[in-house]
Amino acid sequence: MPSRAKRMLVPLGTLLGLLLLWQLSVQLGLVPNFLLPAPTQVLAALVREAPLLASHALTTLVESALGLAIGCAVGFVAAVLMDRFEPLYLAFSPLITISQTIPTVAVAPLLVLWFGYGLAPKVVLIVLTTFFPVTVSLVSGFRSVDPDLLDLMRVMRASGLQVFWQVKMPAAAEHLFSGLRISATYAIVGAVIAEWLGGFSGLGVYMTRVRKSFSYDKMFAVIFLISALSLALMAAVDLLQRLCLPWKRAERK
Amino acid sequence: MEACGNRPPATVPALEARRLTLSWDGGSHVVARDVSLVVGKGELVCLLGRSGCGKTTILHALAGLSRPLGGQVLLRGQDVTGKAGNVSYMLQKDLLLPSKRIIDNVCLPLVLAGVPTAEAHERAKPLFERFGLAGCERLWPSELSGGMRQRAAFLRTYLMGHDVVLLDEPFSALDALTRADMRSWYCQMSARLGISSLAITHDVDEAVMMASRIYVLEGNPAAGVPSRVAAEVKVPVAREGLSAAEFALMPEFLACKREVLSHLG
Repeated sequence: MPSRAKRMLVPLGTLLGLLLLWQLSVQLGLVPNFLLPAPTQVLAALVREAPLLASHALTTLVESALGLAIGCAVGFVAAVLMDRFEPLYLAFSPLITISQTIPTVAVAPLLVLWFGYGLAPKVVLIVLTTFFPVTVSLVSGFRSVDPDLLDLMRVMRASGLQVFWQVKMPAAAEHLFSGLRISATYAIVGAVIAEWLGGFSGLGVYMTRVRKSFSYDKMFAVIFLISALSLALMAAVDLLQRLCLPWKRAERK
Repeated sequence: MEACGNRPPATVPALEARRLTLSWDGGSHVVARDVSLVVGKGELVCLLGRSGCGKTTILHALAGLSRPLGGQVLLRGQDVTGKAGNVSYMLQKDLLLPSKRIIDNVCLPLVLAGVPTAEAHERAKPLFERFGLAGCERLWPSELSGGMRQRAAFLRTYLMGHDVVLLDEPFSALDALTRADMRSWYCQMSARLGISSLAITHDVDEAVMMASRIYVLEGNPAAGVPSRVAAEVKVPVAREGLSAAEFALMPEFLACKREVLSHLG
């Protein structure tokens, strides 16, 4: 097992090396500059456009947060119902899987058609993409509970609600967080795709505008920003996990 | 490490099974037929049989977790057939909840019964010392060794508050030395607390070492031969004050073991 410092430094070094390679290949003229901006140019664009990007990012973040929150709530309710009622699990688990094979870019224009250019189609799209990882991880978490443990709870005369909160939910919590991590990245990407296909503000709208004006430095700037936002959201989920599952730290020791 | 003392059965049995006939998952495949056994007050009895002979199924029925096809389970003379929650139950796995600290794990039966957490903690704390768990209150289960986890599981079982305890191979997941320690520890502990125990095991030495009486199960339900009680063997009384190792070398121990093995076939 490599040390913590090594695990941090090696990927960071790789990233910096690749950026350097990119910078050099543009500066030496190996790639024409009008096709590919240098990292320094991207950084400059990022700084120059910061106020405008911030206002667009705010729209995207609000949509993502709202969609993610609703998606989690829907996913939670679906998982609890599917765990509680076996016929619902049998009826809906294949349908939920099938629903995830439908490409987002195919659904998004329909949602714009149905719900207009405002907040609604974005939120709906995010809910559709984020509830799935939450539901699937929770259902598998609920099912991971040892049947012997459920017997033991019966011997202790636990009610259904007590079994849920004392045993099932803690067992599913770890699964839930790995699902939530995926959902968090889907949320940002989902918002951008929905904005791309129609809207008045947001990083996706900004993207279509700079693409039409062939401002590739700004294009890369917004890509970097979207990555950063997704990473920040994942980090927030990890932090929440550490706070909610204090026993996992003891297990790793 | 001391061998277990013998406790003679009292007149009113703590637990009694009358002609239990059992199936797997309530189906028609009969696992055990006409199983009758008695556990006296304060007695430690073993139910011995090969793997797959239906020991756990019988224990499930005794715990009230499943309904037998026929027969009765009596607790101090009361019919409790198919009713869970009247006896304490302990499994081979410690089944501690990883998400709860040891104190909260052992207090679970109290909290489930509606005792406020603070009061449950107050009631459990003095017992930590007696169960060899002093200082473990605030630890997570993953921070404890196998033997300590099993002690915590015993404390939780004790806090279920019933004086009849069913044990499903409670020591078999432990390493040999810890197992011997835990075995004699359990015998002393249950004697002191006046607990009546029925333990199932496939280990002849363990049965002779712990129990005052042994019910030997025979049968092969997987091959269509339902299990039945082939014999009831009394363990000689002479082990008082002997260490487990000394007892295991005595002619009485070996004679008893030979008898049990002869019934196992």
